[in-house]
Amino acid sequence: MLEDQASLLDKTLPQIDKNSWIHKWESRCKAVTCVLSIFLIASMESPILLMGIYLTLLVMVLSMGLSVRELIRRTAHLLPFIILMALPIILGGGFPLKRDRILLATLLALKSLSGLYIMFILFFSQSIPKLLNALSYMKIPDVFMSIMFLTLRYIFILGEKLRNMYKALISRLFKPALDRKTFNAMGGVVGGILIKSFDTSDIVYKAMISRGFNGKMPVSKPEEIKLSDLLKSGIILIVIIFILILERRWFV
Amino acid sequence: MHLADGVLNTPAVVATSVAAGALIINSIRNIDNEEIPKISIMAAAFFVFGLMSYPAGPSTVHPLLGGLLGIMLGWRSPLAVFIGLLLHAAIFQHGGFTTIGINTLIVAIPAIIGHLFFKSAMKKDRSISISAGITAALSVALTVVILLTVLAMVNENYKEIIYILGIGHIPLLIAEGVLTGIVVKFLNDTRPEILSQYNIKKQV
Repeated sequence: MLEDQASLLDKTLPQIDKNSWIHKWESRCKAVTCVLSIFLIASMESPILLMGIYLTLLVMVLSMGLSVRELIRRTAHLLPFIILMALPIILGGGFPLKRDRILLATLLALKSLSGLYIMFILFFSQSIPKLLNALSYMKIPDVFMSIMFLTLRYIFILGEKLRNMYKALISRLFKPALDRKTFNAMGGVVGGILIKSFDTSDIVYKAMISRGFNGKMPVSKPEEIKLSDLLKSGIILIVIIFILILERRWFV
Repeated sequence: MHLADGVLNTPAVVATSVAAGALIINSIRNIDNEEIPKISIMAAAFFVFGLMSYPAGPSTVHPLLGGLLGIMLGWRSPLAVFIGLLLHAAIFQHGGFTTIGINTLIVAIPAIIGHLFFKSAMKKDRSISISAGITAALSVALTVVILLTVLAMVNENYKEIIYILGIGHIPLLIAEGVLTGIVVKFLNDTRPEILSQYNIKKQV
């Protein structure tokens, strides 16, 4: 099951070098460091220091093996959101442009981009099943992890069914528009897909029960946490905390 | 819509994360193993259908599905929403980690309120499609209200964004209401056992 997911996910996530120092970083240490880093960075208020952090993250992402082309393509997905948020903030105060509004928009853009690159580090350096496997050893409730694993599987099943339904609609010359016919068709598509999916999930659940499923997904042992993993996490977090202290003393 | 990192200030991040955490912990309590497949399917549906878009004038909108989630899962909705959002972040890098709390709350709270509304409507033998449609529209409206309230409290310079988001969601309110009404009616006509928790009497 997880091998199927891995091959499907390979098409969604970029293929990058698997020997970087970030790839070798143990999953649990990496996850905790990335999440804490995002929260710490989001609390910063200095655009200069945020720019420094953003550029450092850029170097880290490139050191992972992600190509510049792929990086630009992925970053471009966030641009509409940044523009939608930043433009009204900047222009909302009228002309001449207000300094505090430009500052707010700049902080928003830098924090969003930094958060995005941290996500690249966390999710592009390992497969999602591997990450979930590691998370299941972090005292997260078994039922939560079981639902995560199953949801990950069903995403691709639902996506496949949706694609097939759309092909069927297009082959029948269906053209979506803002009219009753479209809503009836789409309602039927969504309802039909849900029913097929419930049927599939029912069969899968009975198969799992018959094989002894008790609410806890069987997972393999995670990688051992080495000193180098702890050092990577420690250094990154200490540096960010130091920059935060620096900011509070001299920049804000 | 998914808010990215950096939109909320630290107090808002903390408050929304704690509130979302409490809601999720409550939704996990006393889960029966038999509920796991249904929650997983609806979380996957929230993920997949949230990527669909349909035309609305010069632009397109994508479903929030709070109403449908509330009707199908009730108090388990926050769990499905949170998992869907986590996977949106993991696979497509949509949304942020610091804003996962607010992103969860703006769909989960309306989903729960929608569930209570639909339950009340079914007790009074109201029309399924109209009740489901109103549930979904109510859910979208509440989503927008919560989101805009939080943004207004965070920073007064978000005023213009608030107007744009508020107006931009009006077509979604109508579209999702109509769509959810059709879907729930279809589900009840085809597989009434899916909505057995509401003890719906057969409607002609």
